[in-house]
Amino acid sequence: MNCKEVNTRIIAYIDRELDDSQRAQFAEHLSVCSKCKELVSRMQLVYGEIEVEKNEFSPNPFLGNKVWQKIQDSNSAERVPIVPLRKMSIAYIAAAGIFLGIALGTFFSSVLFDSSTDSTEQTWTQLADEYFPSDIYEPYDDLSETSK
Amino acid sequence: MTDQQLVEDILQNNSQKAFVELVDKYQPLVAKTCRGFVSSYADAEDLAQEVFMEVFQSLSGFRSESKLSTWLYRIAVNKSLNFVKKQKRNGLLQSIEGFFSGVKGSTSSNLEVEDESNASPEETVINKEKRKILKSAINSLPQNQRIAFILSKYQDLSYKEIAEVMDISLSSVESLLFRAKANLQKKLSAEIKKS
Repeated sequence: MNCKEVNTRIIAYIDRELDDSQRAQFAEHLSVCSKCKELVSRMQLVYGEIEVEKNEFSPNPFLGNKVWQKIQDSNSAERVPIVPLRKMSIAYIAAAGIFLGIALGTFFSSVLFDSSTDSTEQTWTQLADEYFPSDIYEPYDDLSETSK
Repeated sequence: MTDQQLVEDILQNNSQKAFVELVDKYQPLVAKTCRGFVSSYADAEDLAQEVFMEVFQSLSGFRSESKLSTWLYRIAVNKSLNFVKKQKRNGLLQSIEGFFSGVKGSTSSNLEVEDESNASPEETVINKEKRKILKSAINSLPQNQRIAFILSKYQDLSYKEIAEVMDISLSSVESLLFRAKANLQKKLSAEIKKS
């Protein structure tokens, strides 16, 4: 085996997945190549951390009760749910919006109604002007009094 | 009690005893699986809590034709993948925040590893470095290769069991593991040569 072949088989070597003949060739190369030997030993250290991590596990004897308690808490929280409160507040906001809409609508419609009345009056005045020449009569002079 | 009896007892009687027994029985399976994806047993335990909460909530939907352990592996893998994604997203957000606020972002925060052994300070530093290289290499694997590799190495599951959990064929598992190891070796060699 050359360096390149060794470099592609390091994990297989560590995991003991090489057959006997490949394993022997691998070991033979390591005995003559210090660079590959160094790489393999460092790789063994890093890759070996998986086994170390696995062995570090220690069960938590309280985990079951802890999770059970969390489930009960979340269940009781659901009985006084936040979502319905949110739904209620959405309803309140919607009602307030509608009320505000109606109030604003009423206000502006009255303003529009007033201005439309003014414009109607103005239209009548303009029409009246045509029949009451301004140099003789003002449009709104009381003609009855003048005639007297 | 068998798994079936435990499940029935939880579903029918809302039995705390049965649930605690189920958690105690499967805690190593869930925690070790999660540990393959995350950098500490503290994170793995948090994930295990989430896994068992989901188990309780979805137990009525569990079909007894598949093994309870297979179902648990699937939940643990999904939760772990979501956790890692969230961590990566948070790391990215932190680095963006850091960029705009002028503070040096901790882009590698999601790769911070904990050494939980009782080692000396020097050993701890070396162990941390080794684990950082290992976790970084494992986390850089494509998702399916990573799942297959973790189930194989952290749980010592057979190809058949991995195929059941991942719902794929035996030959796919074989190919995933072969590619996972090849990729891992490339990444580890590169990292080791760099350090």
